[in-house]
Amino acid sequence: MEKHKDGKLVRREKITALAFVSPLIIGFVVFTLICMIVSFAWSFTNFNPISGRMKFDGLERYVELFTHPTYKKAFLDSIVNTLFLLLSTPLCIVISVLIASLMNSKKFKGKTFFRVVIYLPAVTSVVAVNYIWRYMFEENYGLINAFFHANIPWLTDNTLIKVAMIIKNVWGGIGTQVILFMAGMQNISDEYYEAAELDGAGAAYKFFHITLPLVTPVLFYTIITGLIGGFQLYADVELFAGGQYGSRTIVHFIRNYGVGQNLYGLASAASFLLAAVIMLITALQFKFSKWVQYTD
Amino acid sequence: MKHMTKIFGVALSLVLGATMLAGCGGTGGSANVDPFVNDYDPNKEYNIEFLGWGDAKEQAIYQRIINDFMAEYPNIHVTYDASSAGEYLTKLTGEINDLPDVFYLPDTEFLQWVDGGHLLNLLGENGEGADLEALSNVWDNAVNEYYYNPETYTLGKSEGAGLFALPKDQGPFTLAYNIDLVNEQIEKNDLQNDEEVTALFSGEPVTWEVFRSAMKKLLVGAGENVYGIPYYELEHAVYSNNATFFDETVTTSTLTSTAMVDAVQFIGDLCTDGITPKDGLAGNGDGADNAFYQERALMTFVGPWDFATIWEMDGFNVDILPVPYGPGPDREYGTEDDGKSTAFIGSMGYCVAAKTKERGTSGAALMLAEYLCFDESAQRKFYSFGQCVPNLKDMAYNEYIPDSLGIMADEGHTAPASRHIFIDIVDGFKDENDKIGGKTRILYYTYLTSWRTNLEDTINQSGLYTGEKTAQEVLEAFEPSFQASLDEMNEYWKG
Amino acid sequence: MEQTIKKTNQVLSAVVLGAMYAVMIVLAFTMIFPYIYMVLTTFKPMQETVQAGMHLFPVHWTAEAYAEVWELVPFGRGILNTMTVEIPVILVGTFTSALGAFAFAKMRLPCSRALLLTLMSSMMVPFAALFLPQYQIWSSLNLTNNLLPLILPGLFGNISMVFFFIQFMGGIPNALLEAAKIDGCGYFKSFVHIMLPLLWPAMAAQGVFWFLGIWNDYFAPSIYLTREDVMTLQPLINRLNATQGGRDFPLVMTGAFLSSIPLIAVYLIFQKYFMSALSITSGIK
Repeated sequence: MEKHKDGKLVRREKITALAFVSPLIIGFVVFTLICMIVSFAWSFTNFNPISGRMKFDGLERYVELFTHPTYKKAFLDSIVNTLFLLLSTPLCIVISVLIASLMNSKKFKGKTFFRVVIYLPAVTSVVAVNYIWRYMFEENYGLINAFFHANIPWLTDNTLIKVAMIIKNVWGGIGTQVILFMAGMQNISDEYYEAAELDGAGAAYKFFHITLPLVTPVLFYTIITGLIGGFQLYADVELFAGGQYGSRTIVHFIRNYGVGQNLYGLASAASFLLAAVIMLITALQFKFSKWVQYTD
Repeated sequence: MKHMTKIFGVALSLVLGATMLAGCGGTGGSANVDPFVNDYDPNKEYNIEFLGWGDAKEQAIYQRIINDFMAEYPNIHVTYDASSAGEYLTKLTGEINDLPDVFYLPDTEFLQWVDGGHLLNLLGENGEGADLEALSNVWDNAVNEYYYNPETYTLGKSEGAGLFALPKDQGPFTLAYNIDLVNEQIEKNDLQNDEEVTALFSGEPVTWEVFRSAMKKLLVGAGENVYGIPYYELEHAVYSNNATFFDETVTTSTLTSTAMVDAVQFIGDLCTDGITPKDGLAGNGDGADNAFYQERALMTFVGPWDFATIWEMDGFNVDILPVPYGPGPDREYGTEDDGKSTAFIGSMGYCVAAKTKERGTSGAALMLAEYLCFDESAQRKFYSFGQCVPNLKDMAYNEYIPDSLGIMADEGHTAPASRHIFIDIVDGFKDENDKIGGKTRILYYTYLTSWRTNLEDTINQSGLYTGEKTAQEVLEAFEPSFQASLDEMNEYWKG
Repeated sequence: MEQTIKKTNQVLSAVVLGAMYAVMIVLAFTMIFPYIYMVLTTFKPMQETVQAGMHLFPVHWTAEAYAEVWELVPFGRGILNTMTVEIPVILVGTFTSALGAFAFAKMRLPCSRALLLTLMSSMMVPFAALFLPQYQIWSSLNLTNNLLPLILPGLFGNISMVFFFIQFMGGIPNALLEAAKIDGCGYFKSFVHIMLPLLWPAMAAQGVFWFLGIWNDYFAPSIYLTREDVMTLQPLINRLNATQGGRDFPLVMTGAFLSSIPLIAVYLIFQKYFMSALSITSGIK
């Protein structure tokens, strides 16, 4: 009897929960899922919307990405570039955590000012940010080379262009992350620190044993969204790197070789391969998310 | 296993069905050469849409010209929309099932679009279609580009071909030089009476050898970061050496033919000579332009549209030159197969959507396309705006070259002094003695475009510029991939 | 003895603090520098930006670009259109996101992990692959050159926001909600009365991020909107630079700068707001 009642309550809770997430599900199905299915179906065809041709080709497009003489090298190189550029995600997180904990220390005055300043890049339009940085990295007259009295070919060398992009992206990314981490840190009760201080703990101990564990939810969020975003880097390639060979990412490949050529079969195949990899990585992170600590 | 395939098949057909229902199947038509039927009735009201691209200033010019058109035909109301150049084709692809009545199409995309049956044949019977007489005053090459015969897969004017667009402009792309910087170098190195240098700036085409030698002399003492030219256009080298990328039917690669190899080697030699930078500013967007504007290059490639920028730069004096030519397949000058100074020309077409037939707006749409393509007052406004050379032969020769109406002088600027070279290029090769001409950019001839990017990337990354590899080696290594691209394109096109 | 230790400690912490400020000032300068550069560029004649190399300050100061932007771009209209998208999306979308996150974080939701990952997959498929079917759906409904394609999807929530809220709610003790359950509060009521107030800082922060995202969104609006009267700010500004030949940097930078002023204003206002919101939260604990 008791058990039955409980079951009913649980069921009611489950139904209510479903009702609460239903707007998300409806939005997802209507605006994304249908298009995803359509696009997924295209990846098994040679669909070209302009010529109007569509022939079922099985896994041909997926195979082509790795074997076709025209696409293979471009595709594989774009994977290497994307992975290299992903370095900006951990870099950005490490720097942001450090800055946030600096700014969160009680002795530090002028939080508001620094917070506003640090966030400026995030408020500026992507186009402007990319143009300005392109300007600053310019080989002959750029301010960065002028500052170091060097002649470093940032924008034309296949590796340096990636380094420049990482620098720019860390610059552009820390504003948001510092704010997120500061919000997380301000939620940590002072009692923890006071207790640790009584035990004679130093700053490093407090950082690694109190601050860091307690911001793990924010850390988890920034890692996941950082990786998802990092895998999909595109605007920088066009606006900042001007399509330079060493800067081309997977999404650039999709836009350039797929959509740009109306080869929607190929574009879709590459997109879903990419999505599958991101999904796998995200799922694994969720699976091994025990390190994320919540209060309670 | 059998079950699995079956289930998979059913699922797939369901999804494909959904695809069709979602309206994503495309029209799947094929080019149609039915004669144009004029459905225009002067007593009826028309609403037509025109989609283009351009920045705010260019859009303002277009809006003015369209207003003139509407004033002339008050019963035709034109809605003019424009997106940015970068997003234009993406947007147009999205509208594939419901295209605007009139729209731009770059000639590099023409083959796919005409093959997909989206463009209306503008040739009619009994004078119903495009005004061929007026078109005979438009550059021949520009008009011929948009003929296509779907039966024989032939581009260009031929028996049974339809006309699927009217040219917007012919944007010739040729060499420009910084007058003051060049003069400075001439004086510095005492080259006033140098035969090769004088020939280079005479306005007559010179050979590759003269070009290289004159540039080397000019660059002496120019400074560490100053180059002759930031990069060299592949097509200009290939076309001007009488070379080809593929055979006439676009089926077999000719990348390793002597003329082609020599053309690419010429670009490599410019680099090893120090005339172009080794890091290959090619394909690096504004890098090349910046080098020129920052006076780090004596020359660069420009189109008429670049002069809108140059005019705004006080004291920056630029004139244009024809491109140099190579010895041709036999590697000897003075023979019959010598290359001729050939620039690539590329245009955009004003297309009328096939859908206008159903909408009953074909006639009105064609009238707008014709107005934009060859109406005299419209053409005058376009060239005075400084973005292009006139489409009309007589206007180009009688008005644009001498600036007889003083329009460009009034605007406070003038097209380059040697602007007749632009005209010489778009007017093609008239006879055997004509030394300067133009040829449509190579992507016009192929169904897909990635091979060109690939070829350029391969050359840029190959070590050709540092002299580690020869053009022969680079092209031989690339040829199998190129042939595969050609096969793929033909499968798409004719398969 | 104890005195000297205290003193050295004080000196030490003063040094640390000094170093901290030094780091922060260098950092702040790095962050602000490109912005200063942008603003200075707006006062340069075009020639200086393509030709003379990289002077930080204009050689000849001019406000020409401002006059030109004003003439070419209907700024007021653009802001109005952008706000027409922003307001309903942020208000409704943040609420639906929070409600959904509540179910994920604090209720027994069947297959919640799988469901969350499925919803998150919409972040993982590149937009390039989805754009064509999406465009054709809107186009078949005759809704291009209309703000609805930009508004409607947002009303159903934002999955990255949901994910953040779930993480944030994880830090809110269940005990608070258990108490409400005993009171017989319905789930919706406990969401509104207990969770929402606690969620304010997160909502403010994420709301600001989303606001910025919509404000700076370029790709989708520039494809859906081609008519000046319906354009949002970014495609409007991009019209200053829409051709490949266009290289009027001062003009582009002026557009970008002017369009970012309202953003900075919004951020400054909310900055104060969620600072105080944050302190309220810590007060509860």
